[in-house]
Amino acid sequence: MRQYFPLCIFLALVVLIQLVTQITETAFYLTQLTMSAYYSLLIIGLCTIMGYAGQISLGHAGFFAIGGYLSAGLTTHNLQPFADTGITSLLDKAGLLVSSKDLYGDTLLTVHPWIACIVAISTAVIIALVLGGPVLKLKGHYLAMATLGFGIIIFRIAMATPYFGEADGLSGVPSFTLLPGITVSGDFGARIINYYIAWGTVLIGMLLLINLVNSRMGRALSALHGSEEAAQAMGVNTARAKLLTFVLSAAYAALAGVLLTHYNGSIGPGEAGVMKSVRYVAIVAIGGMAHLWGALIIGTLLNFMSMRGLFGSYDDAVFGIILILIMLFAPQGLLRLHIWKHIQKIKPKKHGTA
Amino acid sequence: MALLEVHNINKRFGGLHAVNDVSFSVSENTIKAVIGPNGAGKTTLFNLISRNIEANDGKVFFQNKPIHSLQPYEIAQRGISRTFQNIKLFHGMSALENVMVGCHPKSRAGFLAGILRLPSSLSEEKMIRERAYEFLDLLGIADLAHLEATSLAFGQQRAVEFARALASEPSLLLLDEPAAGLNIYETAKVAKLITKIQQRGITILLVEHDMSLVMDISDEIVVLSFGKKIAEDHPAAIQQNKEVIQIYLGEDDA
Amino acid sequence: MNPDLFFQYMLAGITYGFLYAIVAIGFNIIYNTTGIINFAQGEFVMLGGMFAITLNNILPLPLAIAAAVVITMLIGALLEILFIRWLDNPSVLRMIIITIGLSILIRELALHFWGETVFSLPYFTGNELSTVSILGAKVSPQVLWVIGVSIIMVTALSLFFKFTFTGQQMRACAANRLAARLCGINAKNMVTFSFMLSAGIGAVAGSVISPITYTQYDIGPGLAIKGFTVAILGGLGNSVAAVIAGLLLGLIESFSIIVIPLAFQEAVSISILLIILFVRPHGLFGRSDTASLKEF
Repeated sequence: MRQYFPLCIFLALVVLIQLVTQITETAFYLTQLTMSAYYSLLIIGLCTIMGYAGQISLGHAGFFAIGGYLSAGLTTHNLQPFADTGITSLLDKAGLLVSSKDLYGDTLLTVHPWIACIVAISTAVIIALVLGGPVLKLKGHYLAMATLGFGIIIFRIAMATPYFGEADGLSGVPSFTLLPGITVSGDFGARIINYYIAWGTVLIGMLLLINLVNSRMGRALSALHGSEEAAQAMGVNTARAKLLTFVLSAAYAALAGVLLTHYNGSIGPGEAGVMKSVRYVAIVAIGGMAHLWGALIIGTLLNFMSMRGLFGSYDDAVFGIILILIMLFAPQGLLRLHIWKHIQKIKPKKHGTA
Repeated sequence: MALLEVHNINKRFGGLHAVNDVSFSVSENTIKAVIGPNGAGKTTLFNLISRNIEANDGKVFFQNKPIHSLQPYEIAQRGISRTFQNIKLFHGMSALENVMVGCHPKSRAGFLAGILRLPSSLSEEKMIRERAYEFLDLLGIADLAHLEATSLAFGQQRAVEFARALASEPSLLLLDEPAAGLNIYETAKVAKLITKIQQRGITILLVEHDMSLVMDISDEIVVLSFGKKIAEDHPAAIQQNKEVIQIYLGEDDA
Repeated sequence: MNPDLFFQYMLAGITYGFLYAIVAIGFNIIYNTTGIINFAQGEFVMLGGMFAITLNNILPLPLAIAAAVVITMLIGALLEILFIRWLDNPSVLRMIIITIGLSILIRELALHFWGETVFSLPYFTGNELSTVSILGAKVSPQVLWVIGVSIIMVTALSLFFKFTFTGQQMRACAANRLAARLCGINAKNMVTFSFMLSAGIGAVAGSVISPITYTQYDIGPGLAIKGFTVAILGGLGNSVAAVIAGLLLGLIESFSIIVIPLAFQEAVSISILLIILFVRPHGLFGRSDTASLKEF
């Protein structure tokens, strides 16, 4: 149970921050905090494949984009003109479509957000499965380039496909009612509930990953990171372990994409860009690679600061510099600098989390 | 009946015929050693059996079932465990965690069970931890359990690797130069340990340089030279074998 | 397709092919001495072009290019000395992240200095309208410049590696760094030199190609990934094969326009990269058993 203790602190902190913003009337911070939460969801997933299993992915923005774009496309494109075709009417009869009125009073027939969400995440999972098989056989530079290549392909597809709005992206994405009364939307009035939806999702995501890294499979992942040959000699099916983790992290990224797109009401090709993927990798590295809490904390802080515009037009440059400095001087991550080790030593600690 | 049978196994690296048509077998609950001068192909032979290297041709049977087309992890699951010549511990993990990974083949909790923390996986986790402690204890290094494995002294790392290999409760244990880099005193300890392992009913195949160790503990010895098997016999007979003496003396003289 | 159009596609393919080949050779030079893939390789091409363009305002073209190449080489050396030289046996992952960080930094600095404006050098001879007639087809003289300079560069490089002492030292480092050091070769200097050389040829390529493809602060990553594709196609470390592979990729890309919309052109070359990584990671011309000996 001791590994859940930080989760409780985390939950308390989430509530505390919300209360503070309410008292100080700075609730506008909640918007960026909510967005940070979704990015953090992707980042903790990436942390698992990169930090624990030791497989770099420079294509995770691609999975985010698959989630966001598919869910946006399905929930915004009007199927009314095709209402009479076989498939559409079949879908409609199955209750998978919703109709609404647009600004001009015309009927819009679109896919239900839940269905869109499931389709989007399943697609990301299937692509991760298909791609992961051959990609995860590669190592080092080859793996980095292959995942980078995958990211660029997704970016190019988003940029060149009219269905995905080309350079403009998609906007007017409707809100997403998860459960009655719980709706992901960017409405001003729904700010607080959305803050909690987002951080609740991160909390559950974190819980599952903490379970994973403390389990038999988590140990197998750390082992294959240490020495793939020795892990195999100990009976670990390393290919399978890597693939499942890759797929899991892709699902996290896609879910983050779906939810953030509904929250923002739009998605653009920038979300699929290479710089986004690099940024996520940077955050995992700064957090200390095999360190879920580090990734979460750093991810939230940096994304929040970035979205508040603290880095101005030097946004990418800041991430570049941080990336280099960390890799030069603290390759184990900020939270693993020696100062922290000494602090940790003071507290008696039984078993490490990794 | 032989536990492990190797039939006409071959491995070529470009022009080098590293293992040339080698056949031998290992009987149940014996200690068998593979010896030979440097570059004789001993470690290659080992890697062929554990499938870290793909053989050009040849067959390997374990418990009468072919294993020469399995993946390395499947070999481990069948009950063959190994150590490495240049110790391969998992860095960033404690000695205990290293040994816990060794329990992998004998435990079942999968990805989903781990993520969802199912009760079955929890009880199994407890069992794995206890068993890992047992094996550390067996090797007399239980007090090192929570230290980072790769930061230990060389001899201690060897011991952790031993414990890790034993933790999978193998029927056959492959030891790749278990005494390499150890002093005489430590080597004697390793010899005792290997005999102790054999007494637990585990068959052992080892590659070794140290002649005294091999002669002391082995039931049978295979001698390799330039990839070819030149002798296979009891230690006493090997010591009398002219060809073997020639190889070793010839090398020493040079 | 009419023969004239076919010829134009082919020329475009060859021009880009040489550019990719030069970037790939840049990868190879650094990879051979260090085992590092320098993700900032494309930025050298951009810097070469940008410096030449800026300096051309005050200097005549040949001098501007020469100065641009020298400056880029110095930057290459500086990057190595500041960010790589003193690292003690860094992991591959660490090197990947550092060179990615460098590429971002260079790009952002370039954005700061030159903005998002698209620049280009003037045509070396004539202008964009002038053509030379070869076998009845019209060819822009700049295309001949690109082809000519590339061929000279590749030849000079192979002569350099074969016959000069420094070149041989670099090859020794590539074959076995430890052994080279034991023979008294200063491996660290060779690494710095490989960064300079690789930056230099990138800058030359960046200048020569600038009149045709234009230069902008963000052309680096695209070039890097294509250069890497070519390096892999030819087999990492093999520079002669890189030229053949470069031409192959250039031609495939150029002719792919017939069947696939232009917007997907980059996706085509990356798909080729993925396929080659999955099927023949040791390259079209490499041998799998020797490739497996390399550390990836």
